[in-house]
Amino acid sequence: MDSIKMNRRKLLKLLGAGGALAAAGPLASPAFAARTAGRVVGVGGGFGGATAAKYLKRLQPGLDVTLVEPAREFYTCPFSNLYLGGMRQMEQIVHGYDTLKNRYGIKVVHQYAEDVDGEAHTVRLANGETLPYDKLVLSPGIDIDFEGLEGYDEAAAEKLPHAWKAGDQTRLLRSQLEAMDDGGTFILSAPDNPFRCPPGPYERVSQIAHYFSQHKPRSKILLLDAKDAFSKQGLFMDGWREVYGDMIEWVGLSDDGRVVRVDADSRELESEFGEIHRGDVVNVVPPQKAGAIAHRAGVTNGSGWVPVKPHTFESQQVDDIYVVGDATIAAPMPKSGFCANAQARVTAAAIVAELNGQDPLDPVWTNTCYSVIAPEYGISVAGVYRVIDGEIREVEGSGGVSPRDADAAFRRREAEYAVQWYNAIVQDTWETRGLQKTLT
Amino acid sequence: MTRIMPRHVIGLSAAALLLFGGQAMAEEPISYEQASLLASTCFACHGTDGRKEGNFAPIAGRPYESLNAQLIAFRNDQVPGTTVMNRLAAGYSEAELEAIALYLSGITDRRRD
Amino acid sequence: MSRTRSLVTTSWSRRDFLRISGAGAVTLGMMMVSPSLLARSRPWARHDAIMELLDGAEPDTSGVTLELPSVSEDGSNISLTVRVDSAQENGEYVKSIHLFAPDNPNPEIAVFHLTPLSGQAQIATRIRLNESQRVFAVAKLSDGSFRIGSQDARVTVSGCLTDDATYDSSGLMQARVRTPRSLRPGEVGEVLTIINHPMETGFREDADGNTIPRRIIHSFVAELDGETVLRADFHPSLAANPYLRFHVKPNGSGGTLALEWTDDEGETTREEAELSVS
Ligand SMILES: Cc1cc2nc3c(=O)[nH]c(=O)nc-3n(C[C@H](O)[C@H](O)[C@H](O)COP(=O)(O)OP(=O)(O)OC[C@H]3O[C@@H](n4cnc5c(N)ncnc54)[C@H](O)[C@@H]3O)c2cc1C
Repeated sequence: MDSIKMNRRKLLKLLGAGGALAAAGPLASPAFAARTAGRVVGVGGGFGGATAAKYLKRLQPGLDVTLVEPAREFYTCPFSNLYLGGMRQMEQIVHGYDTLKNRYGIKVVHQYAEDVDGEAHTVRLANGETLPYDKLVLSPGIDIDFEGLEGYDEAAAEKLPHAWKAGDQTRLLRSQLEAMDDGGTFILSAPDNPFRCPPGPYERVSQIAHYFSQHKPRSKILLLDAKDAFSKQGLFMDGWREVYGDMIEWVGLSDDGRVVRVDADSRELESEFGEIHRGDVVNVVPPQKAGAIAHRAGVTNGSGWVPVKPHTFESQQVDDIYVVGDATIAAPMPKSGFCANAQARVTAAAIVAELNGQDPLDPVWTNTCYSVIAPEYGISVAGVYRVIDGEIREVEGSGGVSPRDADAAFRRREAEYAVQWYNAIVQDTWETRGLQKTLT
Repeated sequence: MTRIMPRHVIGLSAAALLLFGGQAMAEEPISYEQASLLASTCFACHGTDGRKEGNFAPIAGRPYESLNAQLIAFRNDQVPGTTVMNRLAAGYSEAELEAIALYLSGITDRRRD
Repeated sequence: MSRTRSLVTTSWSRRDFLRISGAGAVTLGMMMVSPSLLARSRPWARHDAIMELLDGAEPDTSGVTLELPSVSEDGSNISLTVRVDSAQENGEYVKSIHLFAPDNPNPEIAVFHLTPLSGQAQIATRIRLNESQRVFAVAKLSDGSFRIGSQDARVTVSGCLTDDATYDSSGLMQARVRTPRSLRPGEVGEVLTIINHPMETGFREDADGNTIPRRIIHSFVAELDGETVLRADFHPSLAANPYLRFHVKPNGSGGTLALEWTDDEGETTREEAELSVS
């Protein structure tokens, strides 16, 4: 898109269509509201899909929006680590679709989408029904790549949980931790990039350390990593030392941290150079790929993820299919719920613009990932992203991590803000409430 | 299409929209739609239209002048004790922050909180 | 207010390379690079090094496969596999494989000299890329002909990865080796090695503004009972803690595989492993 065109377009817009801001209320553009044309189907009712459906309706209430999601209730991965640490209940991280249905008029279909025909513009559901679309939004999240790690298949995941999709897997891991004797060893194996939630494994061991320090203080945590560097590394390591002493040991790639084989029955992990680690509870965070429907729709490439056009997140491979969230290749944006939500808002606006024959807006996306190391110890990383020279880039001078030398009050505030963030993003995504104001 | 533009918006249109990253653009007005997209980047922490109240300072429907002054102060890293708003505000031009302040100040409907 | 800035900038500059290029064993903090240091670094040689190697010969553009991730979130450590479709026997074999990153300050990454004992012309290692670019592999065959392959690699840093992320590996020059337990006659075995070393590029400064001198492992040799299996020359574009996966095809009943690394200070590490064939 050349900037001359952008200038002219913006000028025209300003002259002709400046809205009365104060009167606009929740509907962003009265110009769009009147139109009805357009059927949009969303697949996936998680952070990306639910947000996209809601914002499509906000921008253009006349749109016909259907959201396909098999589960009636969605368990968020965000704060599922806090459940493992004993700082939240499962009932506090589950969200339904009633408000999206009732207030926004989104048709929510509790089915699994089996296939997409990009030519015919249809989605086939598990019950055999076929949904036609003008525009399709896929936000299927991740699937575990069971081919990616020797010995780790679906049966193995019942013994060595990944808990990288929240719900039963998270409960299984928690019950194993509860059953473990004091003095036992918990091992987490972390994958190479890219994967869902770069700080996730490190927040998880922090939370498990919190649980151990309260209930099983003689236990140990070993983190085997397929990387030499990880998100918020300095801050995490400072926090671990400060709060948990030497309970957590991290072994990076160059110290033979990469796990290449697992034996679910003996709970053994074998490293690249042949070392065997046996744990009493073993949490394998395995390699991942875009959710299966993205492969079916033909939008993934050889990497297993979805290349998208930066301005709109329309697939580079199939027209009229937009993909947001973890399934995409959006680096430097991380695979976070925050980004899935941000991408969905931008993409909803792009779809509405396109259906109305207008150019997409200039996208801006933000991210803030909080990690809760202990009830009064939070850290964060933030970023602002734009399309620069045809690529998604982080804006220079913006973003970054919490200061390394911050005081206890700062860390406490960031832990509180993590809760506030959770309560806000679930409202923005599902129109539901986070149930608790504080962590303690 | 026949709406009258508030004074703020006219003032806004004259402001330079400087994109970061060396790619300086000519002066550009910020459209209403663009302003609402910019403001929507606040919603993940402050709720839809900034209407979620809790540990963060409320932002929906606050006076334009104070919102704008606060955002600019964050951008210049002049607010003691800030945790993340300085890191985020640094990703926007002053004109964009004005547009965000303008959008949020116009949110008067609190029924859905 | 102190504020930690992200590693990500809008365009990867030479300074970024300098920053990532030493991200091996040293805590970076807020590292600065002086302009005089930049001036002294080599000019960007781009494709000259490849042209020099080919020396006028026209390479075959098929038969060399380079595998590396299309998008990498950490430019300081990118896994790469190169494979040449060729026999590796007496008479006809790949003599050497040369890896280039033309947009790095040092375009040469590494050179691998193979022999019929290598069994298979396939190497895996980890490299540094200062920016998105096309990576090249040139193979020289025993008949003097060349083959070339390339692969585009985009480097972008994940928003959740930041520059205070550093790696402190313990024990300089400490190696790990994994060899096959036993091989059948004629079988090609895989050897895996890693050695702790910062691979200092010589472009970095410490917190006090002093130049950290270049110190890399520049050579690696693998011998089976005194006969060369693989010889490698490493350059600063090889990632910290050099990692190598190569092959060996012992004659007869095997023997002792000896591996030796040497760095710029003349320090060496030697590891031995028995390879049994039955
Ligand atoms: C332990 C952990 C902690 C995390 N913490 C944070 C955090 O603090 N902050 C943060 O921002 N992010 C966090 N994340 C990351 C966050 O969970 C993901 O980035 C986010 O869920 C991505 O949203 P999505 O829409 O792409 O996928 P999801 O939210 O996973 O939604 C995908 C939905 O699609 C549905 N679906 C899949 N296939 C089909 C199909 N074929 N038909 C119909 N429906 C389908 C699934 O049922 C699912 O409901 C964390 C992740 C983990 C694992």
